[in-house]
Amino acid sequence: MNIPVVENVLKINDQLAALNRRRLGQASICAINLIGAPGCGKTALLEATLRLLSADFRCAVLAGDLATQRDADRLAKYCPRVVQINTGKGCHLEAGHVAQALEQLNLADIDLLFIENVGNLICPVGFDVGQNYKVGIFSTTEGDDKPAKHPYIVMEADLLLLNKIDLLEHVPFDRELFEHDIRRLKPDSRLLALSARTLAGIEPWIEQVRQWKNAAPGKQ
Amino acid sequence: MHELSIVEALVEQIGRHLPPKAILRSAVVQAGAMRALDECAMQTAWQVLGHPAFGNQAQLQLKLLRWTLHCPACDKDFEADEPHAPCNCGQVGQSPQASDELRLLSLQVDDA
Repeated sequence: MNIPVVENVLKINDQLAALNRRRLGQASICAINLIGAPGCGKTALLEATLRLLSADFRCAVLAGDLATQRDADRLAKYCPRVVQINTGKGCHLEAGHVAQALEQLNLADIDLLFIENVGNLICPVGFDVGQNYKVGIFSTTEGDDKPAKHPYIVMEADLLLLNKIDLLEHVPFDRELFEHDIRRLKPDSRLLALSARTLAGIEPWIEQVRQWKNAAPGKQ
Repeated sequence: MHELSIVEALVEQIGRHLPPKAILRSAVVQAGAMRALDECAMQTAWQVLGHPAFGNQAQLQLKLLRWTLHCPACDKDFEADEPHAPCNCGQVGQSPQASDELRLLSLQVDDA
C-alpha cells in the first residue's frame, strides 16, 4: 500500500524554530545566527561586536560547540549573558538546542541575541533555529573557493562576511574570484569585508546589526 | 554529518504517518541539491536509526534532485549538476532556484 505524505522532513524543527522566533519577537529581541567554518573567526567577531555594541544594547550569546566551555569563557569577558551549548557529536544547532538555552536567560533583559553556531559551513545552514537573520562568515585563510564549494550558505544568508582581511597579503586569496562566485550564485548577495582582530572594516557590520535591531518588529 | 539529524527527524516523521501495525517497506524522500546530502551517509544513518525503528526490511529511497537554475536570456528554468553550469544557449551566471527541498514523499507499507 502506498501512503502519500509530501511533508517537510524538518517540519518539527521548523515548528519549534517558529516558536523560538515568536518568543524572541515578543521580547523584542533581534536574533542573529552566525554560521561559519571552524577557525573562520566567529568568536573573535563576537568579541569585537560585543565590545562595540554593549554600551548601547543588552546583548546575549548562545555559543554552540561540540565540546568545551572555551568560547563562553572568552565571550563572558564582554557579555554577562552567555550560554554555552555543547552538542556532543552534533555538527549544528537545532531549534531545540536554542529553546533549551533560552530557558537559562531572562529575555526581558536582552535586546540582541547572537547565536554562534557550531563551526561548519554545511550542516547548520539547513536548520532553522528561530533567528531573524542568518550571517555566513568566510575568512581569507580558508581560501577563495569556499563560496563555490558551499553554495547553500551563500544562498541562505542574509549577509556574508569576509573576515581576516588583515591577512590578505599573507595568504593566496583571489578576492575578485571569491566575490565573483558569490555574485554568480546570488547576484543581490550582500558582502562585508572586515578584520575582527584589527577592527578594519568592522563599522559597516556594527551598523548593520544596529539597523537590524532597530528594524521593528524583526524579520519573520 | 547533518544526514544523521535529518534521518533522526525522518524516523520521527515516519512514525507519525505509519498506520498502527503496518510494516514499513520503504520511505521515499526527495532532497534538493542545495541540501548537500550524501547518499552513502544517508543510507548509513538509515541503518543506524531507521532499521532499529522499523526493521531491516525498511528501505530508504532517496531521490536527489539536480540544481534548478534560471537562465535570464531564455527566461526559463533548467536542471544541472552544478550551480554554476551554463545554459544550453551559452549564457552563464544563472541563479539557483529553489533546490532546497527536503520532503518525505510517500511510504510503502504492508499490513501486518
